Amino acid sequence: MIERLANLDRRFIFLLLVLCISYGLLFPKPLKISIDPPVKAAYDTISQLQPGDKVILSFDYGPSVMPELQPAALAILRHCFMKKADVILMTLWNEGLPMMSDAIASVAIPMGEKVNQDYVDLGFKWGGVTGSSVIEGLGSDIKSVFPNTNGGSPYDRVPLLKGVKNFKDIKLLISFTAGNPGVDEYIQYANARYHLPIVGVVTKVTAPKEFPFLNSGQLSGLVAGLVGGAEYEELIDHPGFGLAGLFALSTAQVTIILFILAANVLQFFAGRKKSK
Amino acid sequence: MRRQLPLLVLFFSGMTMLVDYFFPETPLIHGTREVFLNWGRIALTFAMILGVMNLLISNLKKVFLQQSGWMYNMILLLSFGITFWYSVPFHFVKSGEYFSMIKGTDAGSTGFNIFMNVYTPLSSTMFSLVAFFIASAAFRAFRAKNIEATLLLGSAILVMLGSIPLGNSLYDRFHLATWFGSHNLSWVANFIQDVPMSASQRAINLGVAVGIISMSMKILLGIDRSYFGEGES
Repeated sequence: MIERLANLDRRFIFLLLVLCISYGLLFPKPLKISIDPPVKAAYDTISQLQPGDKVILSFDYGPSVMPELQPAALAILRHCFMKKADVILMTLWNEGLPMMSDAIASVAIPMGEKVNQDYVDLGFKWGGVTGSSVIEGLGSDIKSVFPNTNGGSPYDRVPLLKGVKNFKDIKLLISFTAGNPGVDEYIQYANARYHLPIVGVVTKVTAPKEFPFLNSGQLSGLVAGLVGGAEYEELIDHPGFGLAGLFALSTAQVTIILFILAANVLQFFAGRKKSK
Repeated sequence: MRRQLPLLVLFFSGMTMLVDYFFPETPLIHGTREVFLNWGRIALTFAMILGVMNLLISNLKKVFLQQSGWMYNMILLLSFGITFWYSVPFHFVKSGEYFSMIKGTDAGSTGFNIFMNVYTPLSSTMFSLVAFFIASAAFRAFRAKNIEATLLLGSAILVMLGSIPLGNSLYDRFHLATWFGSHNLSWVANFIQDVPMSASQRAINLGVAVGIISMSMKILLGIDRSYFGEGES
């Protein structure tokens, strides 16, 4: 019996996980959220922005991680607009363009923000896997990398970009990252060379990689995964998909932990039976 | 000459970037660097076109020769064609004193809808499958077989539970706070990530950085020519 349980068909595990996630999504329960210090640091950094400060938001992710990163992206974009910052949107990923369009449609337009005045969409520029030619280019002359906005307006005729030449005119860069190029490359090129403050928004899986940069001060804040997005929504007091999906995520994670514990208990009893 | 010229270009462009990093105020070097960066971006754009051409040619070949699985190549070509047809066209409209470009990838367009309603759910589904394989693999492989594995297991469970609010609720419910001097489970998870994990990650990063410096110098000086399709000289 113990051996049969220890070699449980994986389809049964899949089924249990589906049931737990479905329960979490269908019957969400409010959970008490504690704000992690890296998320609070990101929130504090953005809170210090003054009206008219220029902020670059780089959407370096694709649809595969959209459920994980989009809640944080929307909450942070909303926070930037609440602080009346001038938002410059761009992406190093071709898949990032629709993510950006979705963020504009979900946040900028409902908040009544005007294109080229309150925010500007610079679009996509491919800089290779390291993104170096684009990031280095932005450091010396943004116009040389993006001569036109994504909507076709020439750089010089965009009111928001008046007086913006390079990273020296940018107050903060926020990178929503699911891989390379992304926040790692911004740290290497934009922070190390031009000392531009950077906030990273990453998937939960890649977050451990960023902790050394957070401790060294190269990252001013770190928002990781759906949980980070939910915490940010809580901080700006604007509930969205992050908070809605948190219970489902919690149930799934607890289920996986229970599987691990069950497997170890079964192994313990199987070992005792064998030694007898 | 076929070998010397690319080596010379590589050495000159690489050294320009390197010198500019340390002497950014030198106009000649900075100007040359700007030119190289522009060339880099243009070359990368053409590389993307080359990639698309390669994809099309190899798939068309398989369809015409009816090689095994040619139906999948056909589906890829059809999907590519439909997405391209709806996403690429653009036109200009006058808004105020400016002209705006309306593209097939803008929000609300057919190209955008194809992306958001077909590609996005498919892509998210593929990524979500990882959770199921993690659950299955964790059940089979994550066992406390020795001290090291037990330590790994313990810290993993603490980090996993500390990362979700439900973990903190369970922690409070069973009054476990006294174990960690009244800190909550998030604090414990953050401590593990902040101190032991961050230290080891930093060590790995430093090792990788030293490796990259050595590799870059070998490439810049022409010692490693593997990118030519040959081994070290």
